[in-house]
Parts: sequence; C-alpha cells; structure tokens
Amino acid sequence: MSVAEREPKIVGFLCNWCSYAGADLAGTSRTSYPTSVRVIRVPCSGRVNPQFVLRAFQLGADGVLVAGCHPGDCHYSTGNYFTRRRFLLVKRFLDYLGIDQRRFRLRWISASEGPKFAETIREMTEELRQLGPRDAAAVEAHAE
Amino acid sequence: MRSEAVRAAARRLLEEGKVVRFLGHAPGFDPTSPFPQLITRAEEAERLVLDHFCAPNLAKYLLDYETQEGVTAVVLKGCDALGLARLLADHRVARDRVWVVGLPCPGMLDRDKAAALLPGVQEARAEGDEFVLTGAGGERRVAAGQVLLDRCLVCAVPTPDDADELLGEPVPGRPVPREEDAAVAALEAMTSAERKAYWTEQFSRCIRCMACRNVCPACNCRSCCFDSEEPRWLSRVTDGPAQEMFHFVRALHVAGRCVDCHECERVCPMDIPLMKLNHKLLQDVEELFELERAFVPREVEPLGIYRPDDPEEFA
Ligand code: SF4
Ligand code: SF4
Ligand code: SF4
Ligand code: FES
Repeated sequence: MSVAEREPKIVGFLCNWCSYAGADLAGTSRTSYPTSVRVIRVPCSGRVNPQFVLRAFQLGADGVLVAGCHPGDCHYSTGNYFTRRRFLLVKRFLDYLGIDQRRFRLRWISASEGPKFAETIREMTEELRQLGPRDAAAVEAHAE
Repeated sequence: MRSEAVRAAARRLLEEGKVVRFLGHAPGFDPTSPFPQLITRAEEAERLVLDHFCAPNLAKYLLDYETQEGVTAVVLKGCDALGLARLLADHRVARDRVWVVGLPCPGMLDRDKAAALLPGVQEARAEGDEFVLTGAGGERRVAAGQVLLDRCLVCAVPTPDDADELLGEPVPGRPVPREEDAAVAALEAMTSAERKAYWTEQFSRCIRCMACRNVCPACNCRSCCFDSEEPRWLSRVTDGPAQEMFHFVRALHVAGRCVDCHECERVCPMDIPLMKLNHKLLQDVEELFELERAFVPREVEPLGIYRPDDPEEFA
C-alpha cells in the first residue's frame, strides 16, 4: 500500500466514564465510522500526560485524540478543566515544534454521544487524509 | 565592582553567627567565568568576588543544604531572586533558612560578547552607559548594549525585592515592556515543516549534559522523569525522537513556572536556543490565561488552577 492510500492512524485517549462509554455506544448502536482509531482507555482525560501525546506521534500516529467528559461533568469533578488548560498550551507547543496542530484534537464526548464519537473520528480521519502521513519518509521506511 | 562589599557582608554574617554558610562567587579558571563558592568561615571571605561577570544564579544551590542545619546566606541579583521566589513558591526552600544578600544589579556581561570585542578580556568596569574592558589586548570602551547579557538588556527587576540586606542602593526598575518576542514570531511565521526542520537541527546538537535542567530554579523536582528507569521516558540514545522528547518535556515541565532568567540558555554548551521554547510558552500562558508578568512566581502556578470560563476551543 503506498503512503497516499494508507489509512491515517489515530491514537485516541478516551476517559473511562464518558468518552469510552460513548465510543462503546457508537459500537453497540452499529454506527459505522473509519477503522483509523486505536483506543486507549484512561481513568480521566486529566490522566493524559502531554508526554503520551508526543510519544504517540513519535511511534507513528498521524493524529491524536483526547476525549473526556464535558466540562462540569468530569467523574472527578474538575479533572477535565485541568485537561483543557494543559492542552490549550500543548496544542500550540506541538505546533511550534512542527507537529501541525490540526493533528491533535481534544473533544468532550459524553456516554450518550455515540454519534458524536463516530462523527469526530470521521472528521479527523478526513482531515488527516488531506494532511497526509505525518512522516511520509518514516512510514515508507517502516513499510519496506 | 562590589567585591569588597560582599566580603564584608560575608565576614560579618559568619562572625555574628547569623548564618553558618555563605554562597557567593569566586574566580574561576578564567576571570570572566567565576565559580559558585561556598564558605563557612569568616577568614575565607577573601576568596569571594562580585563583578560584572557574576552571571551565575546561585539560588538553585540552596537545595544542596536543604537537609542541613542552619541558615545559608546567598548573594542574589534581581533575576536570581525570582529563582528563589520560585523555590519558595514550590516549597523547596524555607524562607527562614535563607539570608538574602541582594545585589542591586547594574547588569552582567556576556563573556562571549566581551571576548569578541576584546580578545583576552580579564576585567570590566561600568562608566555611565559604557563598559571599559581591560585585558591582555589592552583596553576598550564599549556601549553597554553591545556587551550586556541579552536578559539584562530587558531586565525588569534588577533589585531583589525580598532581600534581607542590599549591597548598595536599589537600582530603579527598568520596566521595559517585553515586546512580542521577535524570535518566537519568526518561528511562528514558518510552515510546520520548516519549524520541524529547524528544531530537528537545533536539537541534534544537544549532548544531553543536563546543564539546562540542573541550573534551572523551576526544574526542582526531587526526582526527575529524565532519570527514571521505569518508566523510561528518555532513552539514552540521542536520536531525533529522543531529543525532541527531552526538549518538549523540559520546556513543558516549567511552563507557567519559568522565571525567564535565561540561565538554561546561558549555560548550554551547544548554544541551543532554549529561550525560544520558554518564551513561546510564557507568551501563550499570559495570553490564554490572561496573566501579566507570568514569570513572577505566584502562589498557585497557572497550570495548577483553572477557570470554568477558560477559552473553549475543543467543544
Ligand atoms: S537580568 Fe537584571 S538582575 Fe539579572 S543579571 Fe541582568 S540586570 Fe542583573
Ligand atoms: S544544556 Fe544544552 S546541550 Fe546540555 S542538555 Fe541542555 S540543551 Fe542539551
Ligand atoms: S527554564 Fe530557563 S529561563 Fe526559565 S526558569 Fe529555568 S533556567 Fe530560567
Ligand atoms: S472522568 Fe471523564 S474527563 Fe474526568
């Protein structure tokens, strides 16, 4: 498969209480969405250390999604407010280091928002397809 | 410049028993590169110097005496005092265990700039808005702006505001509004691929000596993720991803806590432009969280709090 037609790879860090359940709902409702996402379940979006995000990119992700409960709904009350602050900064910093900020998303997805999860993956996959692989040279080398 | 004053202060404080140790500067192998010097007896005060080359920030050395008895006196310039404020805000140092001998700072010289203007430079004295450099190559008079450290050119806080005593009259603040950092703006104007290439090139020179971490008053954790074996955040190789990880983490761990002292960049033996990372984060912290002078330590760091109405870009 050449680089151009390769499906983008997304690493999704989903909070256990909302977004993971939302993704699960998308599945049980048989909503179809691209198979581009690899899900990693975390206890809270606040658990996502920015180092995880960079590591995911370095290990070949074309995009990274962090998803958690809507502000005000975090299972631990305030975890996602800290997540929001942190990633406002991190998104810009990744971009500054040369990782296009369109490759990173943070989304609030509740347990009942299966369709929103599916839509997020669709949108992101589409955008990443247009951006192309993050590191084409590395992907080619890997494929050989 | 103030060598006599610092010796007198050290002698007095140690003789009176007000402090048990005194941290100052002493001549290094080269007079333009003084070493930190710890003394514990009044007779040793003769060793101390305080001149226009005393750029090293001594605040971080206070951590070495954390578990030892007694009060430590330390010589601090305005920028160094922000480093101490950082350590205090982080509860790494107790204020009553420190005696601050503050230097109302006339500005410190960049030894590389000085050596370029007068090869073999040994000494410098201030005369108005100029410095007179002397050394084997004779004498040369240069404008302050040509030879001061970059950080001193825009210094907002030359006099420590929390000193127990001052070596001289306070230097009035030079409240230079920090202009939008041109270096950061230039990088922001590049494409993503150009920035990636720029940083890859810069980071590739890093020898991972850790001087930038070790000197930084904000990098003060008891155990550092870079030293952790399990999980191993940083591989020992210095390939592209590892260098990128190191610099990403170092800068982010001090985001909102960096005191803008430029020490990391000054000590880097490979001239990596670390302040371009720190300034980017500082600017974004101020802008996103509506803060002014975010480099001045406050009780709660900007990333340790939130506001329900923080900018919502994620929805
Ligand atoms: S930054 Fe300010 S206080 Fe620090 S050495 Fe320069 S002039 Fe002195
Ligand atoms: S001081 Fe410079 S060379 Fe040493 S680890 Fe820091 S950036 Fe790398
Ligand atoms: S990151 Fe650099 S400028 Fe900021 S506090 Fe640490 S040493 Fe000073
Ligand atoms: S538990 Fe879902 S964001 Fe905190």
